Amino acid sequence: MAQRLVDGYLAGHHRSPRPGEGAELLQFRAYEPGDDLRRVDWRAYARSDRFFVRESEVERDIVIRFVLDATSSMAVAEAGTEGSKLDAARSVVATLAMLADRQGDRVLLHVVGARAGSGTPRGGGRGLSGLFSQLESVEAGGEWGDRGLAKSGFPPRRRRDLVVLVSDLFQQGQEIEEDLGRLAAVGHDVIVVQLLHRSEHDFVVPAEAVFRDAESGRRVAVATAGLRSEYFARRDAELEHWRQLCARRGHAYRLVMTDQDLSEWLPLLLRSRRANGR
Amino acid sequence: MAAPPASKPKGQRPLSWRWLDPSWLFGILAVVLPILVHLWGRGRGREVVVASLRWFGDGVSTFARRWRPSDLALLIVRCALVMAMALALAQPRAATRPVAKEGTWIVVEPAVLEEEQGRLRLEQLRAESPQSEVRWLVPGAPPVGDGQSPAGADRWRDDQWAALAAVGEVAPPGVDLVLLTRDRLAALPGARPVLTHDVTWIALETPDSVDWLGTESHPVIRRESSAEATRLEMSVDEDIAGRTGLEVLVEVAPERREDGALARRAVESLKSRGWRVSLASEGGGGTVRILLGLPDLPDDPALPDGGFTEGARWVLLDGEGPERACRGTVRPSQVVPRPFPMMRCLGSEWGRPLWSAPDGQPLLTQTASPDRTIYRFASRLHPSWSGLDATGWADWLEERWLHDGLLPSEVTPLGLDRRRSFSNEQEPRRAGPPSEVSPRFHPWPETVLWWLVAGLLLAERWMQRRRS
Repeated sequence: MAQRLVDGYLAGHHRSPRPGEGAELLQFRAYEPGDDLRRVDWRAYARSDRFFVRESEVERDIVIRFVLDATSSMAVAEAGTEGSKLDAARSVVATLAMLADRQGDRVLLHVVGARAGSGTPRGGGRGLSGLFSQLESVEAGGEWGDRGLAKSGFPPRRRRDLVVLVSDLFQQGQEIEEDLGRLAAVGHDVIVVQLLHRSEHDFVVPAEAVFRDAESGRRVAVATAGLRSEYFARRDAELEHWRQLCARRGHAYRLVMTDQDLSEWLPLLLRSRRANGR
Repeated sequence: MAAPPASKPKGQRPLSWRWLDPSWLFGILAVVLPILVHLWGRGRGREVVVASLRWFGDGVSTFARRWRPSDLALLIVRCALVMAMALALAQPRAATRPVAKEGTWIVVEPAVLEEEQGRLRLEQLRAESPQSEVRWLVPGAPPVGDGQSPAGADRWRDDQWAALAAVGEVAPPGVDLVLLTRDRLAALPGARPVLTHDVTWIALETPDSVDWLGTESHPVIRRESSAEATRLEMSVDEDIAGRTGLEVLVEVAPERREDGALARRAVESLKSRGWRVSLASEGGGGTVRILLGLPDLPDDPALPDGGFTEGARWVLLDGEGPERACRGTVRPSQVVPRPFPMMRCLGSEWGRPLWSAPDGQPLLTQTASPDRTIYRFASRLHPSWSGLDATGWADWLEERWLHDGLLPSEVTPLGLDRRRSFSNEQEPRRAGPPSEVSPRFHPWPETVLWWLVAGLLLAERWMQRRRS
């Protein structure tokens, strides 16, 4: 899905990663006449008695850090389906990462929350493949918590990166807001993608049920008929709050439903950023 | 004599009900299940995991779920569903009780008027429709005058289909026929007649009882009693026949002396098998115990002089005849419980033996009630039936049933102690639409109930979906 989308969107517009000289090894290939002798790997020659040329990826300047919200609230599936918000977030991150990789940017993934032992970078994989394996292994669990971003391995250094936060932005207190404030303070360029289920947005729930908060575990039995107007008021207020917060801090913000096709909104998001000179 | 019931208005036919499998009525008790489920589910709700309760508001608190009208409606539908299923499985049949009217012939089987029940029923029909004519169920349909059976009635005793066809020929067109017979008509051989008249069949139910008399380990005599007759059958095993000290008491009401003929035959039969037989009579009340007083019994010097031997083991024989004669006083100690399943109709006059063993013992009997025909098989092999085996029976039966149009799937290989029943719907119809002469017990209540079950099921699903 992500591959198809990226191919369709990038065709003819973006450059591919360029093999050349640099610090990071991309691949070995057989020596061909005309190749720079300085790039011949003599150790490989000593081992195999054949000439191989080292090809390294050109050093990339932009680092794109994806911050994936993998707290328990992201594990909630849409009513009647098995697709969780985390699944949708995986698609978003994978698509954007592939897009960035095609442009030659470095991509890194930071997972906030997540079940213990899942979502940690594996030793063997780096770059896009490492990000994919990390995405694949992540399982939702826990809360964002205080300084959740820092706990996910996000470096505190003062270098401006592009940060893409994919989250439902449900927080117990102000923790996500605070972490976004720290990102803004460092000067990162931030894109916030808020993922919601359609049933969450439109309050499609049984008339009477015991509702359990996925993160806190709190249970309430509610007759939803009388709650609807208050729910919508609170929802609109909070969504407006996020919208204004992001605008105030210069973050790009996009509210996305999990049943929306990526091709519907991703090009719009990218074009709007390009129009803003980002 | 009981007073006849008040006449019903014309055209009003009270319903009569019958359950083919009434044991399913206990299934109505299962109605407590949905009630328990509702009580158990009260106060509980379906749990829904949400990402956050932030948008639910701070004032939300746990509440005790209360019953809504939709809950009560759902409970009622579920209870009705269970009850309707139980009732449908009990296979209800309904019939309109026939009411005689003008232009009606009440056609009576001669044997019916020999019984009190039949006479009462006829009086009832006459009271309901004084203008109706009462005719005998014999060819020519002569009017019933003083109640004396018409000449030659016995000839048609076992061929009442033919008699009914002959009645239909002489009955004027448009006359309704109300047929009053004993309930054995359906078991009669021959072709069911096709009649142009509207025929209503009233089949009198005959109470029956069957028991075995003899020693505990050896049931010797099988007695079948009904309002029509008592039939005795002797099943004498060799080891019983040689026993001594087994005596037989024949007890007959004095006013039914003609029954002594059967008693005599029974005694002679037993004697011929080497039994020591005694006859006894006893007075008291309206019953007289006769020892040697039966005029038809020959004097037998071997018989004891003043009653049966004290301390001897007694077996009671009844004489054939009407109800009164066959209800002799049976002492509890003389009645032996049946040690194995009973063959209800074997050899009786109102069950028709279809197949008999070489020694005359019936193996397969067809009997009928107004709503079903039942085939029964002998459940015991007699030593003299050694030439037969279960496979032979099965082959013969299958061949016969295929010939008669019964479904092959209904035929199962027979073993001992195997009994099968078939409803009347499966009985082969040889000619004519069966409704013309069948009792008017229709399955429509069962059909209606199954439709009701389907409707309730749909309603339950719809209400459940709407509720959630």
